[in-house]
Amino acid sequence: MATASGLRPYLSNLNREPLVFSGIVVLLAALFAFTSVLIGKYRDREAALGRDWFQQGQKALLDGRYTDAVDDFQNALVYTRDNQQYRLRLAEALVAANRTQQARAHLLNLLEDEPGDGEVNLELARVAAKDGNLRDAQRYYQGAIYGVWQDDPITHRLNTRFELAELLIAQNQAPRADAELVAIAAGLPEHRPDLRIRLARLFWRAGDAHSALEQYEAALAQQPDSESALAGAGEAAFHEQDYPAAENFLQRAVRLNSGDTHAADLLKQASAVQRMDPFRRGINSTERAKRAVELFRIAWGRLQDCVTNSATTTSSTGTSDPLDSALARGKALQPQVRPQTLRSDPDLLDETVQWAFSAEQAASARCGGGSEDDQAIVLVAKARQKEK
Amino acid sequence: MESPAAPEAAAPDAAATPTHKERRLLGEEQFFLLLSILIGLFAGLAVVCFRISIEWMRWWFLGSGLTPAHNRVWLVPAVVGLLVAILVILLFPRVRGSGVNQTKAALYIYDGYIPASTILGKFITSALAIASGQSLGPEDPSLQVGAGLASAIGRLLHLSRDKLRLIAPVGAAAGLAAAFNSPITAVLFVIEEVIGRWSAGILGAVVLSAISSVVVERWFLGSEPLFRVPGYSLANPGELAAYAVLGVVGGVASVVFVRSIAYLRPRLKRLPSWTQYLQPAIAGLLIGLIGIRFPQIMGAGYDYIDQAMHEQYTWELLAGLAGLKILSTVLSFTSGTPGGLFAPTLFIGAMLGGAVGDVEHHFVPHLTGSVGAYALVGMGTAFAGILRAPMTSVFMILEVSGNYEIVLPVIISNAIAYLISRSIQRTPIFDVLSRQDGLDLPSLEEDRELSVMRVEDAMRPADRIHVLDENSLPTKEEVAKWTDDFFLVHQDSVHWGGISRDSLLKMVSAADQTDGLIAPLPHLYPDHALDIALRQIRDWPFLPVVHRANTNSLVGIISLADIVDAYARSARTRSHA
Repeated sequence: MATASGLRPYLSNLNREPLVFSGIVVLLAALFAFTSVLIGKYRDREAALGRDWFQQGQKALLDGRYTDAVDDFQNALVYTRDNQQYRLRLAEALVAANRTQQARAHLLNLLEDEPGDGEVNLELARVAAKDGNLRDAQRYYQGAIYGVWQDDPITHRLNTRFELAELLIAQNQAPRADAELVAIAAGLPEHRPDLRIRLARLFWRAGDAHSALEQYEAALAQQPDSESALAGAGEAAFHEQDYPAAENFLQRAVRLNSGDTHAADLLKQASAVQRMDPFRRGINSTERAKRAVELFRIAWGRLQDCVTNSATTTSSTGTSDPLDSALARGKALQPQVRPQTLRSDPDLLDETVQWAFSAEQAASARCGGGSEDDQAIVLVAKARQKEK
Repeated sequence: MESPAAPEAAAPDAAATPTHKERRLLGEEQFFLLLSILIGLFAGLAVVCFRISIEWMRWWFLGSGLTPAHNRVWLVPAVVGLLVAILVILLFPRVRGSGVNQTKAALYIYDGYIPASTILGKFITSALAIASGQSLGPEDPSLQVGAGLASAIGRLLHLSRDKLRLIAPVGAAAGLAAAFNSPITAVLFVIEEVIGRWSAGILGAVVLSAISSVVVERWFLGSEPLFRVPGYSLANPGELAAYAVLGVVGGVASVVFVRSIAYLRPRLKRLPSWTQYLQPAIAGLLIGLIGIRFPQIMGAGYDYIDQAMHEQYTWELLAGLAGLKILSTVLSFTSGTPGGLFAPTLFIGAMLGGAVGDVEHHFVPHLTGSVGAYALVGMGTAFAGILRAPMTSVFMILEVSGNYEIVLPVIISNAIAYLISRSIQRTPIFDVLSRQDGLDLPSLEEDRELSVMRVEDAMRPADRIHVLDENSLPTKEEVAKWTDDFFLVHQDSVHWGGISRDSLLKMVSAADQTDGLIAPLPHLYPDHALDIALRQIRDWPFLPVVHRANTNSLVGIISLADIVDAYARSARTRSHA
């Protein structure tokens, strides 16, 4: 007994530590399980809060409450810090709220993570464009065009090119814009007349009326009753001095939308040109002579009005005034300008018409735009010059 | 207020427990390392729960948005402040302050003993305070919770007193590592600030616990760092000058912060005891009032640090936030509210860094470093200036950023801030706090600063002593003329010996009885630390100091009196300084 009681402290010590150690391990496992449950609930709550704030932000953005949208997206990001979509929307809201510096910082961070991300590049391009930094804007637009897009990359790239072209046009960089537009035209999907029309408008704004007309015509081939395409095509054809085509397109456009006053005005001018052009194909010599006489009559009247209304002076260089010269030449021609004479003398007809052109141009230069008929004569003159 | 009061019950005298006898499978050291991993796991779990508790409470108190509703902003910190004060005064009196000094006190004063109630109290009161918007952080409390858990486990396992003392820093490293999600930073901080020395015995345990706690933390909370760090590259070496400016600004701000705490804290402590109930509430109210306009200064502020690093604020706002954070943290901390100083320090540094970077970019636009990089470096700068942990401050930024290129700006800025802070405010903040609490904890910075005394500072020339050669001893007559009591004997090319006058006389008189009369002497080198000489000298009248490249060459001798004189001279010089 004495021996047993002597061993007891040793035995109790011997058993105690593994027991305690095991208890600690069990406690650790229990704490681990408890923490797992806690974390699960925490994560769910976090995700829900992130979603709620994001949705609030989306709504605020749509409602135009940009400052609220920024706050909401920032709150959303507290709960899902690396969510690219949230960060992008925040950048968008910042841009909309004119906080471009903050937006740029956000986007540059996103770009660091995903240098080839099309959407990030596009947003950065917009920020740079808003700041007037055309060089960076172009760089980021190119990054977006050649970048990676999660869904529908073709449409995104196309839209980005459109946006870049619009920026370049707005910045008076027409040649560069034209290059982008040509690239768009090459990759434009078929059966999308709306995109053709958008492209045509941009060509038109970039000063390339010929390409604009081509695109309008292509759009009209798929959608013949598109009022905007008809009006645009009419205007482009008018600009290209293809007055028959312009008249055709504009007539159809005005028929579809009689409220389009611009198209109606152009139509009047195109019709006047058609009516007055002595060199129009398909008319006989009698009609040509008749038109030449009419041109002379209008130009003569215009010239006389202009001379009456303005003081004719001789320039200090000693050259004669164009109005005086035209008046003198007109007086000389006037007795001969008869339909019969002109019909039998093509050279005289030609001289008469040329005189009318120069008289109208001289009067326009001195006295400004005249009547509809006067303007029509000027347009016919230009068309002839172009033909030559 | 930070004073860790004496434990309720004395720490069990575990030294007498024959624990080593039971550990048959593992040796003592291996068992300690295994225990460190276990402590790391516990600390990791505790810190995860702590962080989640803070977040959850914040949702309840202030709502889930970054900008809380106005009525909550001023009301919640005040009301919760009152609750925290009641809990601290009535239930958990040892949980005031940050937790770093309490852990040091456990190590140096209480044999590693941290009561279980302190762990619970620190957890609850710090979580309440931080979640309600008090301008404090969760890292230092995590450090104390980790240390407390380690202490509790150590006591359960009846560790020896030595091991129990060491185990608190092991838990502290684990707690801090999990709170920061940065094991290297935690290990360095605990070694630099809590333990104060590199010791192979404890380094392994500290590293293991820190890593295991971070593993747990990442398991549950993911591996993403505390902040999304902006990219950085140093294109122009001239930019380092810009970071030097940040160091100057950070150093001055650090002094303002530390001095404000040092000034206000004892004055608030001296107020009547009933005011202790109200002080956290009043601090909370004032912080709330600031928070109505600037909610960024409330709580730990990590989300706002992240925003500052991503250039979401103007320099004016950044500078304002830094100033207001200093004010609000001083209010929170000096009122006795439990909570840490790490997060506010990082916040102040990030805001100052961002402000300095933004201003510099305004004047020198071609600087390549982003404002975010300045905010990042600013955090390290404030850490070096306020907490005076220079090594930790550098490695923290490297670890957080994962970018080695930033090391140069960090070192320059941190070193300048550290030097400015040290020259104006000589006592580091944790030492200020411990002295205000009447605790004489070792000042680890002062220890570091002490110059090591060397043998060359104490030795004297050997020209007045007689050096003998064992192979050609002097005659009896020659010895009789000399007055020395002790002689150095050159035995061979490496060894030196010593002989007393009597023994030498006996030796030269009877040449056949010389064995054992010359005693081998240890020799010293001039660059040996003086405490090595102290250990070697024992009863010898003096020891030879020889050249390292040629031990035959005697450069001087050193005696116990020389050593004592040298220490006395050094003490006098220090007191004059």
